Amino acid sequence: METKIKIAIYDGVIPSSLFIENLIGSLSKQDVEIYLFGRLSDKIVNYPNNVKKITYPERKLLTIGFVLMQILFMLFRHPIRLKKIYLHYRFISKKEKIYFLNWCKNVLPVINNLPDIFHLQWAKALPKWFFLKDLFNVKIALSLRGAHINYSPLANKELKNIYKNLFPYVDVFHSVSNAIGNEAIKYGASDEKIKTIYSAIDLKKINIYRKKQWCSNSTFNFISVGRHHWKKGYPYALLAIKKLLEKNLDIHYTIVAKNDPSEEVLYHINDLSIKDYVSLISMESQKEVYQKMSESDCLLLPSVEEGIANVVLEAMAIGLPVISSNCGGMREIITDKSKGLIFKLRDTSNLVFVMKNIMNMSEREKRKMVTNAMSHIEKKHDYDGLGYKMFQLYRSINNYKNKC
Amino acid sequence: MIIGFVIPRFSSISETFIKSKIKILESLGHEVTIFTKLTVNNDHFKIVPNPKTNESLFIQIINILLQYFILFLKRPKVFLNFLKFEKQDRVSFINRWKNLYLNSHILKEDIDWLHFGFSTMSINRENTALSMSIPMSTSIRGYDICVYPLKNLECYKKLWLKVDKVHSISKNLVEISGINNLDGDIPYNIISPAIDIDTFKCSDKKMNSDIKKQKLQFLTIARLNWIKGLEFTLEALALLLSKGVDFHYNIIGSGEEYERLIFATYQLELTKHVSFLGSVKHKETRQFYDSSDIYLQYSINEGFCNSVLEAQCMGLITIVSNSGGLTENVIHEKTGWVVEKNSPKSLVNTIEHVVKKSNNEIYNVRKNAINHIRENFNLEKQTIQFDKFFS
Repeated sequence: METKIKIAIYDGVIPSSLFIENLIGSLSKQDVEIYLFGRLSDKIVNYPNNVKKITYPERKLLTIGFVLMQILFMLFRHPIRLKKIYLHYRFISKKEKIYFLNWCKNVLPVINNLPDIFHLQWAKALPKWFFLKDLFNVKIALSLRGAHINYSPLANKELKNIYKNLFPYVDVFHSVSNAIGNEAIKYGASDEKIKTIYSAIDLKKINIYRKKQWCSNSTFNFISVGRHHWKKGYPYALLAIKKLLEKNLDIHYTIVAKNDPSEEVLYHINDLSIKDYVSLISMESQKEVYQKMSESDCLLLPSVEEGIANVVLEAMAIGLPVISSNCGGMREIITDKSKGLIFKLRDTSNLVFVMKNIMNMSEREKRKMVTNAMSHIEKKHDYDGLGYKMFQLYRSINNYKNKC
Repeated sequence: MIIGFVIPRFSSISETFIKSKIKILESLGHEVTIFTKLTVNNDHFKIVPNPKTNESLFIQIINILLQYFILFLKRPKVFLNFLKFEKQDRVSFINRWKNLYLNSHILKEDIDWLHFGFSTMSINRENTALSMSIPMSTSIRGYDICVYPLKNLECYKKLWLKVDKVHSISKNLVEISGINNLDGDIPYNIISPAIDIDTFKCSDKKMNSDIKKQKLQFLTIARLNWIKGLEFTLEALALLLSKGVDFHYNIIGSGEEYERLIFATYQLELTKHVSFLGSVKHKETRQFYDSSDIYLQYSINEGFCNSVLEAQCMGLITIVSNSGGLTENVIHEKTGWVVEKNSPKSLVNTIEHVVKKSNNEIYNVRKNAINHIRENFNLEKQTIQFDKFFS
């Protein structure tokens, strides 16, 4: 009987962001063994039995103990691996400055629990982990997400060269949209190895927040959800809000983010004199965010860059009408006007036009739009389907079982 | 008179207005002592570094106690005054002593006037000059007044009560800061930046050059920061390109938003038309002015902008946004063009409008701009204004 595939899903933090946790949750329903390695964050997540988490200590003394234990374990169980990794350490430490303890605490647990497939969530970490393939024949799967593909290599030529050297040897790429997959091809990723698997939404968690009414008799509430970062394009939304207010429209705009607002956002709000019409709020719990979205009239995604914005999928699942820029892979989600409205990215006039359109829609039209959007989510972004698709992706790698 | 000048940092590519201000003060016969974070080799004036912070708590405590001890021995009255004034301001016990350490390097020095190069530098230093029984003044700049207080409400409340004189680089900043409307009368002087008009001279060739005959050359000199509006500028230029106008755009400057701007350039398909040249020594910027046709400063906010002065003096066609002090810098349709801010479409319309102007009209704008800068923003005039300020 074939043993289960052993997959390490690596983000470096446990638990990870919501979309990666969705991936783990859905994949765990397949016949796989999942390993998570990383620093433990303050959130608590319970994983199924086939998910094993190995967390790194933070304090120095505990780290020393942890590393010693890992070395001893490897010495007795896998002495050849220890020799290989020691030689690798000597090699890389000559080329760059390595903090020995930190490096050991990250790397040794992975080698002691050597997976068949090491699924890296962020491309910038690829050079650090590529030795797993060279030394231990571990297959490398790489997720293509946001900034790591879309703009970091444009600004950093060294990173661009690293991608160009390593991407041809990655075993499989998980692309969150066709658009980002096309960007990766520019750095040497083979088209055949790229599989687009869209993020999934756990509808069971969202159903209780489903919107029931779409008529807006009073103030029309726009909402954006996402950290304060330039790529989120909030200044375009604020300029559009100002233009709508100048037309005496009764609107309010809320930005929900975990981090503090940027000086840029604060400046625009003050400079445009729209303080009374904009709320900047911070919410820790995802439930609160869903509740706030459910109480709003329209989700606005003014981003200039996104792989796929999960918040748009969540809004569609909640039944909240969506306006999104046409950045990244967003056109692959909002394929036509029947599911949501798209505006031309960086174009405030076009955004104003689209915002007015959605405000003028009748309840019946909105209901029709969100019904189409919900049905799209159920069909294309279902939670169980994600795990199955990922499982098939891993199985598409030749000789994925590690004999090392 | 010895003037103590508090600035955040001092380096070889330090802000030009700081360097020129120090030169002016020296030319007026004053001595200058700089209080700053970093020390650099410098033969002209005394530089006193800020008190050190050490990662080791033990060493830090020793440092602090030593500084208190030296200060108390050297200037016991100043030491006690500082703590007294901080107490009167209801500063907590711990913060009083923290601020004493923060200011110990200034309090020890023998100076006659304390001036803050930026008003943000005065925070937690409001009682320093008072304790030393010397006058205190501050310069107010764009970031100080338009951005910093958004996250730090009422951060200058104590400063406005204690400052003896304020130097503003524009009328706009005086209005936004509200110092002209406060109950207590704060004397303020508007002293605009100035440039060396003999260094930034327009050549005859430039004066008569025809901007229509060749590929347009745009130039901006700015930090790569959101406030400089470079993303909107790139969006405007993408629109210009879509209308079939060929150009090249040089951006001189470095900063934290390089990645953002490189991405915008790529996304707007401008990669072949835009060059990010990084930091360039001030003297070397002349050659870039000389080889450019149009200088763009489409800032979201701007205190005043020395580069716009230099561009006008070098005979460039200057197009700026209507933000902050830029409207005091460029006279619309006389020395350049002023465009509604945050609107790439307005910027591109203005560029098209300017390019269609006759050579004669362009010649007149260049001439007006050069005269405007030479008459109003020269170092001699600024020296006289600073002489009055520090008297």
